Amino acid sequence: MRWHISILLYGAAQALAERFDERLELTALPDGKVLGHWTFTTTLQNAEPGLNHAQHYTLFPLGLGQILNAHGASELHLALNAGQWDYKLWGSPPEPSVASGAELWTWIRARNTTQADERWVGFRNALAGVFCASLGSLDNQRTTTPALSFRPSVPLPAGKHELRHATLPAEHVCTENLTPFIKLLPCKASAGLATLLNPHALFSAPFHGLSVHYTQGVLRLAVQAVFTPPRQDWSLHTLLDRSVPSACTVASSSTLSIVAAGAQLDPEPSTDVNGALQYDLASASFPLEVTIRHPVDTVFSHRRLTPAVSLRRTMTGSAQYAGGLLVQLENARNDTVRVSYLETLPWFVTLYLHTIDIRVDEDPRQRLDLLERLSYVPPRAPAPTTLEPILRLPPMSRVTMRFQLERAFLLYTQHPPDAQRGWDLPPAVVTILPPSSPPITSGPGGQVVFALQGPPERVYAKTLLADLATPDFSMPYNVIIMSSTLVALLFGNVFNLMTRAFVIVNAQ
Amino acid sequence: MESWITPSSLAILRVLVALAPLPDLSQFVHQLATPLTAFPRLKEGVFLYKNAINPYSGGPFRHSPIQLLLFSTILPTGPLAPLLWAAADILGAWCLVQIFRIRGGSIDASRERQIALFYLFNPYTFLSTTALSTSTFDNALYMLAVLFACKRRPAASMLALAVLTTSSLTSLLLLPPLALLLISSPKSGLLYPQPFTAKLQSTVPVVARYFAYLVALAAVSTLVVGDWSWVARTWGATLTLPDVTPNPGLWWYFFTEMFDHFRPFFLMVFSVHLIAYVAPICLKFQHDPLFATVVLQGLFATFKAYPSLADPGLFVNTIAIFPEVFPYLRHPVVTTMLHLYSSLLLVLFHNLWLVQGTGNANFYYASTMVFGLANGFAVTDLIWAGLRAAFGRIPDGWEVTQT
Repeated sequence: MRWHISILLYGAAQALAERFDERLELTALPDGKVLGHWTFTTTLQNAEPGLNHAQHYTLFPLGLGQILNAHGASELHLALNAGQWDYKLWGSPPEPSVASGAELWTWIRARNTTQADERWVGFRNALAGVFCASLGSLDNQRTTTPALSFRPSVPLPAGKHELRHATLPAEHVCTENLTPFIKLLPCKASAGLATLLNPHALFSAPFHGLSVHYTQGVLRLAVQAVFTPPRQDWSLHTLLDRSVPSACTVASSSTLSIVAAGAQLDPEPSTDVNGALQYDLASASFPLEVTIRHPVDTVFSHRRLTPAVSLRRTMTGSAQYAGGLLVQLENARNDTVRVSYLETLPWFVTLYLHTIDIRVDEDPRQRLDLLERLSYVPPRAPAPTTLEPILRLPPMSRVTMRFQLERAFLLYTQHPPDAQRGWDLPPAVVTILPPSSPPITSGPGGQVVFALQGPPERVYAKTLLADLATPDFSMPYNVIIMSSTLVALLFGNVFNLMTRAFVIVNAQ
Repeated sequence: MESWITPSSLAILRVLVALAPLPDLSQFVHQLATPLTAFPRLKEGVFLYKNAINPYSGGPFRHSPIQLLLFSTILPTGPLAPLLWAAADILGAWCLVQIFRIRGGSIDASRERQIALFYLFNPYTFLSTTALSTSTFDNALYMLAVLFACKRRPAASMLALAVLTTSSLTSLLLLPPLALLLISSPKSGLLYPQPFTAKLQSTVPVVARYFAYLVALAAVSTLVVGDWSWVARTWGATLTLPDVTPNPGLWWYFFTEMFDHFRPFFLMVFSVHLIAYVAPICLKFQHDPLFATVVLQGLFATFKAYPSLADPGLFVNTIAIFPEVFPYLRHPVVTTMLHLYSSLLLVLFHNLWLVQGTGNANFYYASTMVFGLANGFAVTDLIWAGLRAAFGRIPDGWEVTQT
């Protein structure tokens, strides 16, 4: 089998240089859990923008490449998560998109908005087919175009691009999504680190998520999950119920990295990089079975970086037609932090912007000076609200932002089958911006230039449930006949009074 | 005791009440205001407009661009707003008293006192004004239009009606009776009906004037907004009912429960139903067009797309200028009891459904049915009394019926 692959690699090297790297990082978390982060990166060197070349791939997945080419997607980020990421205990997630459910955002190359919308429809349906997820229902009721968040990670190629962002908070993740995900890898689930992706272990983890990222010739498939090890001393077998049978021969680098301060590993790791004990699978002995022991178990010194800003969002009010939105942003740093807060609400939740109320800590004064800029797209059924204020958070403070809102009354046919459950509100996203406002300029071809080093950090809020007032679903016929009866009764009375002649009769 | 109760002192009392701290009427918002008239929506629209966002591109704002223009420039939406609303109410009461004087020909102080008292303190309109619903201005404009029509001033009357139409499209249907009123007399013709003698051709300049004003106001609105998006969001709302927020009317639940296939047909039916009342009422009451105007307004208050309590409130206020028909009302007590009963139930069931969660939408719907019946009974009783009044007193043992 290996010489087949070698011949293919040789042939591929003549056409398009591809490179596959894989990495698994297992990190011990302060609450005893273990964070597993798989990264599978396929790089196309000298790729045409938009993958507009003869697509003779050996390592890069052809299906995904064809979809990206056909729909003009220059950048793709898809995340399918389940569970709630705990920022305080687990720190910043290695993959920032930890919104519960499905999140898909992409920069699409299109002449105008109509073409972008058409390509978006085809794109999300194609991805729905590839990943067996209901991405096709990310329709115009859920799609927004945020102006400030979700900028491109790398400068986009020439041509006009438009952003499309959509979330489906109620989407589940399961083996049905993992299987096609693994099929995109060169070695599939038979060799390399992808063999450790055991669906039983992965999907019973408190938090698990798959993500797909494509930017300019680099495809990165990632899995991140927070496992609960059965005992403090764990091994690959006890944690994931798997061991690595063999290395993936087409991988240029294949690394297993374990971050656990004060731990003893067996077998001995090959290298030690900044406290991360690494195994190079190219030179390891197989089947690879790693055991970790904590000889000194009184000291558990695992520190992880937490994001500068923590976010909490709730809906207030008990009436079904009105309420409030309460957002608390806590800045734990000693200097001012600029954040952009993205709130996309479905059209039936109407925010009243004029009721905005910003306060700091316990100070009762209104602090509208903390609001630098407000980008707002009002809801127009079925398009959602897009609210993006840029706030300046004072050091070591908690800023509370409040809005009044109103929940609309939907028609009979607009309610979902399980109407009393309520509607999921997409999570709010806080993007931590650099201190000075970078100019967001457009190049001559309409390309977006964003001067930043690395992607900005994003913090996600929990999804909320909006409870809408429901009509009585058993009543269409009754309502129609009763209303019609009343109207006919009154119309009939007026008609009689208008048309019948009046006579004076003897009462007997 | 009664000597100090004059319309002026009542006006002062009304202003004092307006200055008092407002109770929180937000729980009654669905009764007192509609998506076309609610005050929070007006403030939201003004806020968006001042921040260079087109308020008609989405969001909750459905007021007319004329109101947007006025409230974003000269009229207050802050602490002085209750005074403005009270002033509009006082204007409406003054107009009603003037109309009563013109109709009666002489000054009847005690009746005028009662009329002003009812207009200023009728709970339906009083609570709507306290809740700062813009239906107060609609009512005041209606009273102005009718007053100027009684005074035979077509320009002013049609201007008031045109401004009223920009915020309430149903008022377009008040053009025929007002045009007839302009060319004839506001004096009472119910007791001694005379045939209609004025030439109908003289309504043509009146109607033309109205449409000219309306087109001018539409042009001003388009300049204010920048494009034509306001038409679909304001006038279009009355015709297509995009927002089925509960109100005391008959449309919202009917169209909530309707399947999409039948929606356009029934929207057409309900609108044509409103139009269908205009010609018969105007023909039947051609001897007293002022009465026809009031009857039509009552019918529209019952059957229009987005009514609130202010619309039947206006109707109840204006029937005070027809004391000659009161002896001939067949069931005033029943109507009053129905109104009392249903207005209490509306509030109670609204709270049970939406705040406490123990009732469901049917409770509130049932109370709107009873309220619609109460309004309908009031209008039909008034029509009967208006027609019966022509017969006057008849000897005992005889009665007037219809064949």
